[in-house]
Amino acid sequence: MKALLNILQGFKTVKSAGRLVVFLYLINLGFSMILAVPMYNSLAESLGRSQAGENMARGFDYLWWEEYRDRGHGLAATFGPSVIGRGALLNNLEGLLQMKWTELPAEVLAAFLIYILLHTFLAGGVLFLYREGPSGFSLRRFLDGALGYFPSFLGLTLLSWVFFFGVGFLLVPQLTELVRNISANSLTEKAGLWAGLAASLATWVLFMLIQMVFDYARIKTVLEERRNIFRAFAEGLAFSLKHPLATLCLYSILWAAGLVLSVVYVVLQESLAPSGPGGALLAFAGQQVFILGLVGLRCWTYAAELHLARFFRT
Amino acid sequence: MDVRLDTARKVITGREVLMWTNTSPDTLKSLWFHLYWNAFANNATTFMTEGGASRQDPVRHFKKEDWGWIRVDSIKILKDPALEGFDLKPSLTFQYPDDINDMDRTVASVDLPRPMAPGETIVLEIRWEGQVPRPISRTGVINDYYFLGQWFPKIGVYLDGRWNCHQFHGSSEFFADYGTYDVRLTLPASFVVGATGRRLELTRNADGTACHRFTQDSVHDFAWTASPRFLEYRQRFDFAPGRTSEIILLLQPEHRRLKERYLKAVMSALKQASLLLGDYPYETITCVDPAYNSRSGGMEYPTIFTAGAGFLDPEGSGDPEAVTIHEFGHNYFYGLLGSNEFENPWMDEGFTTFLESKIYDLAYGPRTYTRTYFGIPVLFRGVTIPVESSGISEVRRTAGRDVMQRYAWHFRDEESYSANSYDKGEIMLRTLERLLGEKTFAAMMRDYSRSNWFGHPRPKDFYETVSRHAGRDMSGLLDQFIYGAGVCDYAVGRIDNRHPQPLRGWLDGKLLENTPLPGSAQAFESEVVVQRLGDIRIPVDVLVKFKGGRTLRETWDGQYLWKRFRYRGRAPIIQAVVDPDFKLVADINRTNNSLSREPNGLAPWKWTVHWLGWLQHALEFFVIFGG
Repeated sequence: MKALLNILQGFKTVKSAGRLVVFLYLINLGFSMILAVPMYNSLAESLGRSQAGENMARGFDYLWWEEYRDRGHGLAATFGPSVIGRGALLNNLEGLLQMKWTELPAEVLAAFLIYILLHTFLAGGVLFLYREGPSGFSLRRFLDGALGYFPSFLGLTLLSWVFFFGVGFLLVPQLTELVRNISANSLTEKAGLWAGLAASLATWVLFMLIQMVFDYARIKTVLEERRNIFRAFAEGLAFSLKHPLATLCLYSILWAAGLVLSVVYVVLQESLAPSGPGGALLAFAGQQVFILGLVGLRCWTYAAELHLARFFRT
Repeated sequence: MDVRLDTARKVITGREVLMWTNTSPDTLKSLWFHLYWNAFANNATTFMTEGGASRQDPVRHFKKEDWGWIRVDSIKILKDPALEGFDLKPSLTFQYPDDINDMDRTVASVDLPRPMAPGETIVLEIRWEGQVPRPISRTGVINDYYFLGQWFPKIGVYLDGRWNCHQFHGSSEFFADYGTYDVRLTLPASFVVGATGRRLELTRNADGTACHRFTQDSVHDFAWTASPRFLEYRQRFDFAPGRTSEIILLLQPEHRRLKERYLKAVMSALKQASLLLGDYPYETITCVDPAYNSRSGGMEYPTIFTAGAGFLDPEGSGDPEAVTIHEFGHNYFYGLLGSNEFENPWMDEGFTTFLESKIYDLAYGPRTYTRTYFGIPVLFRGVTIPVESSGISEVRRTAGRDVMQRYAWHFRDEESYSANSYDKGEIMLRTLERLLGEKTFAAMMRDYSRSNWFGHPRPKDFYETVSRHAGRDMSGLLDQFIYGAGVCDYAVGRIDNRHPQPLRGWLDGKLLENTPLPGSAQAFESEVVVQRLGDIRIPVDVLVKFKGGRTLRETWDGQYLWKRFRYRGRAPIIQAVVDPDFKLVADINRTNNSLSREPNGLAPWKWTVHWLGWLQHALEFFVIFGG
């Protein structure tokens, strides 16, 4: 109930500063465009004046793609038939939970790192604005908050990496080994499949919990003006442990909303796939609405968590 | 053979009566045998050392009982009044004809007490014992699933004045001579058994065991499998009135839902292969769905083969259909023709891979692109995989490391063996099919197949058949594929269109100064340059398209590195395509085979948009690491 109430309040807060969501979305789009330009050039150079271009305009030319993949390096290595619809989402989910993101090309990893640091910076502005209440979006106030909290937030991000990468680089290989051992003497692949799914689920839950605790650490930093990152982390952890039901419910509901949004997006993207320039435009529009929704959900999570933290403080 | 499997000790005890005739023109002083389970006896065998670290990995934690071996206890002469009961075992010597590894015990010879004349027949009684290995490759036991291949002392092939009896290698399959097998297998009655040939008898014994008797004529090996978990299904396949074969499917219980798909795949393979290569002549074909972790999947033996499947494999993904068709197909090139997989691996794997993709395409159409996430296969319905893509990526990336015609264990690495033996062989045949035309090619393949049944064909037999059906000497073309490491890559280099230059200078006694030719404002001088970027030279067609819809078809012999085609007319060239009918499946770069004057602007935009969607989501997704 408390979770639902604060989710509702969080929604009102996000709505009152709707331009903030658009601003964050535009940063995502702009940042992605920086990499999209070389990707476009690479595709245009390969497809340009070949019949493969005509085939790829109509559908997917598998023969062309194999050639492109075999010769491609860097960004080109990230292009394939699975960038459409469900594939794009599953690629990223598997990349995260099985730490396959480490196999991405260096330029993509560099972009991820810069974007994560940029997001660390922006998170201060978001929480600062939401703390101040429903007074709309002001870039100046946003930047004040972002700059003011960046050192603490950067420290928290680096501290969170200890946990994230501890799970990713120490626990995940252990779980993989455990799955291998479970399936090693099995006469059916089912044991390994279920064990693998359980291992991925466990990794996912741990990642979510780490993110949630560090969300509250950031919120404590902003609400209580904590500048000591270890104290902020301790308070975030203590808050999550003290109110497990409310914190987990709130977090899970908003994650479930993200899942629903993703499923709707995949269904629409895969069922409405017209060819021609109109189709490309429609696909682009659909993607942008989806990304806008995801950005909005992240803001909504922050706002709802902020309200929950305030709720229990009072 | 009379064989008993002790499932508690995982040991086989066998007695084999071998009747062998010297069909060569030579007088023989020794007999050679394969003792292939010794490949799994320790980590110093040729098989173990050839695979490098990857092959050593599974044996790192082997216990005493996991290693496999075969021990011959006696080889006695029978039915020879002068030498009845003479034991050849004391003269048994391990041989290593393929390398210098004296730790390898996979081939052995025994000396004959007297020379064996051409046409003479010898009868031997061989007693042996074998420890069933934990599976590393193709054979062994895991829990109560047994797959037993290369498991008994098998005589080598005496051919061309020598014993053609190779050691057990990492990257090779097998070669043996034809014979009639009559085998009694005794093991616990709870086991479901499948084997080469037809089951004649099943006797239940008082001690809880059962004896299965299998026989088969005209095969060069005998393999069998046993597991209490198998579900057994049988289906009759009619070639023609009175001509039938029985399909026996041994299925893992968790793959019950794949039963119909397995059966359909075997029936499609039987039907199409019989049309292409001659009616399958045996009474049975047994398809084994292997147990997970048994490392026995995807392997062929006479009239029995293993496929492989995942219980979630969706229709359209090609699994388990493709591997089923492939392994069945081996029953022709490995089974009926008896190609030497050690020395000419492409003559089995290349032909079989070609047959697999041809039959799959005929029976099911193109496959759908499938990716596995978290162990679950996911189909991408909008992306189909054309048959022309089969193997071309491997050829593009790897085949140039070697030439096709090499001994299987001589290839630079496993990838090169695979790319040259499987993929390049398949692509050579598909290219040949399109160059000769489907009808000629089909007649050629049927002829090659039928005239070499039980014949151990060599490359020259294939050359001769191709040239005969093509009506010309095809060795120049075949040599490029079989003995060359070059690639096939044709390209359209450029297209130029321009208006004729005004005339300057003397013409017909008149001095002209920038005088336009009549009609030159509307005329174009156009040219297309086509190039050969690879070493393989094959005559190729070039299609030239002009504005307005007119097309011209040219032919180029491909001998030089490039060729220019020039035209003068009222319409400019808008597109040129080299090999427009896609005959040269071996072309490793199809993208450069066509060139248009105007680029297609939509495709890069469309696919950048899709890729952008992935990237935006990835960025948003991975911010979990940063708030």
